[in-house]
Amino acid sequence: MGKTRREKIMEMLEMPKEVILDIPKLTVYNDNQLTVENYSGILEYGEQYIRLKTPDKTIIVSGNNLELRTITDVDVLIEGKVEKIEYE
Amino acid sequence: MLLIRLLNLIKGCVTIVVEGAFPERFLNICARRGIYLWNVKRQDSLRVSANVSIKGFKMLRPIAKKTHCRVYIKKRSGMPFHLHKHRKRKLFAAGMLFFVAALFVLTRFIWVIDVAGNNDIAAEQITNVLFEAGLRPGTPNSKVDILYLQNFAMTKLEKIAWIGINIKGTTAFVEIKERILKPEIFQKDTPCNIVAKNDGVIELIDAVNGNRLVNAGDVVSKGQLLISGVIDSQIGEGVRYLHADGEVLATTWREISVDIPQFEEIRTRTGRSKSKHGLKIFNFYVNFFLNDRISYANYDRISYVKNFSIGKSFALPVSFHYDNYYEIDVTQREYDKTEAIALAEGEAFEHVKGLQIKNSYKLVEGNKLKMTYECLENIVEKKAILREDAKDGGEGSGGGID
Repeated sequence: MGKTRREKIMEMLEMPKEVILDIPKLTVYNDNQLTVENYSGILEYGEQYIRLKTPDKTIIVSGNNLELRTITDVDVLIEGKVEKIEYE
Repeated sequence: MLLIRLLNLIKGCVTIVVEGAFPERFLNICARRGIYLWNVKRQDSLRVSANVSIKGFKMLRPIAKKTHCRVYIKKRSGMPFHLHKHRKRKLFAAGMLFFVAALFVLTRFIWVIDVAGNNDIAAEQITNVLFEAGLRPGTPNSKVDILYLQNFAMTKLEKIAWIGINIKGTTAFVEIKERILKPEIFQKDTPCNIVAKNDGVIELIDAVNGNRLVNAGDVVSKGQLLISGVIDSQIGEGVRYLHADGEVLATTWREISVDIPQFEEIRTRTGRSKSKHGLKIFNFYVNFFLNDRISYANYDRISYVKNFSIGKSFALPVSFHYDNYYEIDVTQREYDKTEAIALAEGEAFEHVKGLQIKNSYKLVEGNKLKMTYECLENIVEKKAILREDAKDGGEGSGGGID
């Protein structure tokens, strides 16, 4: 897998990637809580289906009874039964 | 998160329903503008419900317009709405105000004085002195002059070496260090005599320094001169004054008379008990039950007191009293004679504890037990010699110049 020079430098310095590279960071607790940091917008929100825009990809979370516990401009906290996390 | 939610409850929050073709756009714009939304839930294909703070809610209108959404209020919760609901209840408001005012006022006084570090001096004695100086439960915080109090207490109580007063909330912490009073010590060069501390018969006399006046076997009475510090000069005329020193062991007698106990009180709990509760505010005691007189003839009372305070340091002048009364039966049992005498003897022995006892004699006279203890003890007592030509030797009173 090829890495860009920037990524290599970041790895060497051991700095948190989401801060420098502007990529999303997902924190998943079991299958019922998910935090997406560094997202750029909500594309679609439904109880079974959430699409989140991030700088270079779209994250699709599917499951049941999905709720947006909190929304701020840097992160979303999703609660509910998460079944799938996909990248598009 | 919990903290933020709690804060929102105090500041008030609104549950809204957003209706429109693309509620997501509405959510995105809210997030970007820093309007905090939580508990976002899809209702159906057109509607999304969410919570927002009052302050945030006021900023929603332009966003709704921009995204072609309609915003409804579903529920209002939090303190501001409650206050609004009860705004016409004047007494309620007055009560709340009174509560805050009372809290504010009550925490400006000293309610508890906590004395620590005392062993020999009673805490009461210290609080009494502080009372005199103006520190008592109920003194306003602002009127407490710690430096003055400390100085006052230091001059009044000669047995303390140091006193520190700290005010924390409504409690005054008084910390003291006790002074160990120095015993009266004769300097080795102060002329003195040795006199008898008690009546007795001399068993052994050993004069290290001075003129021995009595011999072993002599009967002496209290205050009698045993070793004199005044001796004739060996050359020429006149006298020399010495610091008399030595050891005088004597047999002394002590008579102690005590009552012989006849009955023993036996207290047993009958199992019946009553409890009483009350609230003490300042010095007023409020009973929770009006008719709660204790009908038992004899009872044990066990009390618990719970003092109210805000946090640890703000003690309030309010305490909850919880008293338990246990009924008891008092019966008397007659002692048999030997048992009673043994008990009396034990009581008498307490008086001569620490002395070296050679013999003891018992004598029963009616209800009294007379004990005579023959003890062996050191009866040395030093007394300074009063001299006309020296002023510093005049502390003691006895022992003149012969």
